[in-house]
Amino acid sequence: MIEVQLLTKLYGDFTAVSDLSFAVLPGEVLGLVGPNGAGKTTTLRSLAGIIRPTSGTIRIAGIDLGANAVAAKREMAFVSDEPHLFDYLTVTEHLRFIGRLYGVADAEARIAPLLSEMELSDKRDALPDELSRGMKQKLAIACALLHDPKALLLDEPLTGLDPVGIRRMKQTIAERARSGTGVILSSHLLHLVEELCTRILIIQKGKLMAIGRIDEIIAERPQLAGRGLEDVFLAVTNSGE
Amino acid sequence: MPSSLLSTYWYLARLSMRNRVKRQFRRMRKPRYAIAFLLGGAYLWFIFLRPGGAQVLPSGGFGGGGLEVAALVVALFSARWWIFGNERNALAFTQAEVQFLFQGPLSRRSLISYKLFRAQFAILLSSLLWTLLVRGGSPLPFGLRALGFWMLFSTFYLHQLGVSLVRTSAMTQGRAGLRRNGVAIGLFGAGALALAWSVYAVVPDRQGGSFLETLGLVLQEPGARLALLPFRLAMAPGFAQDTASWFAAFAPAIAMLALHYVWVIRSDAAFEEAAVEASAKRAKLVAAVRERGAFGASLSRGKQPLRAWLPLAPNGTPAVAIIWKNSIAITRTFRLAMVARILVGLAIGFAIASFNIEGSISEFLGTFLIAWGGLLVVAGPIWVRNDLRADLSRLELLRSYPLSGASIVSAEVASSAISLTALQLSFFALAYLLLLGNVTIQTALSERTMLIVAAAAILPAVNAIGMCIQNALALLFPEWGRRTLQGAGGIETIGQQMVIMLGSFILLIIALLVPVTLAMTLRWGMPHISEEWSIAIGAALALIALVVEVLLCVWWLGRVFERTEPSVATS
Repeated sequence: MIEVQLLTKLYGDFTAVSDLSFAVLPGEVLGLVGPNGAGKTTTLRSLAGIIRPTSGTIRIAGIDLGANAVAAKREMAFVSDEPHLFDYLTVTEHLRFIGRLYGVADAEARIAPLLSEMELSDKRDALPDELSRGMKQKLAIACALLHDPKALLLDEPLTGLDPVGIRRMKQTIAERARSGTGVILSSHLLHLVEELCTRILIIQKGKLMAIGRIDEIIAERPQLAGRGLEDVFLAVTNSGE
Repeated sequence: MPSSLLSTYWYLARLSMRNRVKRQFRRMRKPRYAIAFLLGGAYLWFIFLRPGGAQVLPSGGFGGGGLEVAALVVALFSARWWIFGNERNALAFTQAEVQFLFQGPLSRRSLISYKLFRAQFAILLSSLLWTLLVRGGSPLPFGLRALGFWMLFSTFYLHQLGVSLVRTSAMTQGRAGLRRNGVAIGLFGAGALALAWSVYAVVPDRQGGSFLETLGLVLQEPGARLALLPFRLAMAPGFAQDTASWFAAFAPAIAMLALHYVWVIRSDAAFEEAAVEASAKRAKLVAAVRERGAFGASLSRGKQPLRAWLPLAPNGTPAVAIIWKNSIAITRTFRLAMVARILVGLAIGFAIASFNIEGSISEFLGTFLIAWGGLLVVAGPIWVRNDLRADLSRLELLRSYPLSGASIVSAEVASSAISLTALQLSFFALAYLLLLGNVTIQTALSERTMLIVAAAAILPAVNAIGMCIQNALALLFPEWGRRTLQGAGGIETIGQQMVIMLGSFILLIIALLVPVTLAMTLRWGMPHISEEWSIAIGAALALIALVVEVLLCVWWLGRVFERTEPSVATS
């Protein structure tokens, strides 16, 4: 569903991402983890078509993002760590707006269940000003899910959500994956990544350090046998004491 | 104020200033910022420092009677602060100050001291600028003039802060707050009553007298003189005609300043909550001004959003969604429904009036509206900003949409071009109605009708060109497009605004050159056709040329949009 080959992004002399290659299959949830400044957000933004990679190719649902960005973007959704909403559109209007952008013919029929899933039904006519941080995040996620994307890119999606919201969101992500969506989930909450993700990609200073299931990564490092993702992460990134 | 606290404040102010200047100089390594700085500097030199100097005041200073009137104006401002409040300006801190100082081990008095300390930077700068501005009209030495202005601005600032603290105390502590501030409230009440009594004593006997004469008589009443005395004392050094009178006015003015300082510093109003609220409102306003410009941000919206008056079908050209979004934003910012009702009411009234009222009045109003409609061709694209400029902070979001850069840019440009055209056409339509029954003007009704039809056809394209220029400037110079209430850019910002205004005007002239030339060539080349046909064909030719230009501009801007790094545009 998502194929990345030799992705590199330079900012002047600074290398944010270097020769990153990986793939996410339909139904797979890939956990993207790394220390601060490792290049996670740059990677996700490149995949979302927000920034142009310096080199490398990205394919979303078989469509080359560089050659046909519009068609590729239609197949995916990106939820950033900071919800960007329009000040003057209500909750429902945000969804109608997205429906038109992505050509969702039955948008009206999808809006009510989606608002209910995100526990935003009571706020359907509210402007973003009247929403809490968590509600704004839920609205951003609802906007991302409206057109049933084949690839879902989530950058710290649970920031600001309450415990009930977090549980709901985990269910939503798992359900989307079960229905065939390829998901990339970037988060510092390693227990969440461990719980939700089928595979892990650890990057540091823009370089791929490890990729695979946790047991596969551990198998390459026998000294980590029996340890959890946190220990694996610290060992791979040499961040431990 | 303890010296340790003062040194902490000084540390914060000094380093903030140093880092700001360093950042500005670092930015000036890029020629576009250096040019803006040089232009801004040249402008300031021309206004304040050029030999001979600017003179906003008549020779000899402010003059005698001016002090009374100025005192009255300031007293009215003060009354507004007392009655309606000015907490957002007086009590607001920056968000960082709220974050770090309010939770720090600082007393209320320390927080107020900090506020006064911070205000001194703006007061000193204002004093310097005013001193330079009036140097040609004042006989006083530079130092005395500057000191006079400093005392004046400091007293007014303290007054504003004191009033806000009294209001906050009364609102949060009720009767206890009123009792605690009884002296200040009593003085204000007595002054207001004395002023009102003076008006009452003079105005009923002055039927038919001129306004200025009546005002002069009111100001000579004992009650008014007493009520305005504190204001006159504070302002007297600024109005001094010579050094001797300045020194005579100095002691009372400094006493007023000291009294205000004691009043403010001894206040124990629990202002924190009001200050936090005022700070948040101010931060929001600054953000709104940055996005939508001062005009758009100044109009507040209601508590409940208006229902979207434009439907949006789920199918169709995706970019239309962006025009829909921007149109909704402008109706919720400007309350278009109310504006439309006023315009319709005016239209009916003007049409009736054009047949009955003296021609000169309707001609004047009609000409005024046409002039404004025309002026908006140049100024409108700078004022109306519901396009990429308002969405610049969400560039990342826009880039994630499944639309090409050209589609997004065309929708954004169309949004503000449509709004501006609607405004201009309503002006022209009102002018048309005003002149409907007018038979004295030379342009025949049929020609006027053809002109307004031609304007309706051409203006969207002309405005689209203007909007393309503004959006191009916003994308190419994102730092320049950002506006702030707090003058973050200083000299550089002045230069940037000059470049934007001048550059926009020159680019608009260049863009209109080909269409206008085409239309004029037709007029000269085909003298035998009627005036109406000449307007119609000329407009059609100009329209074709304009549409080609807009398409080329949008295509190019779309490419720029796709290449622009969101972090550069939004940082």
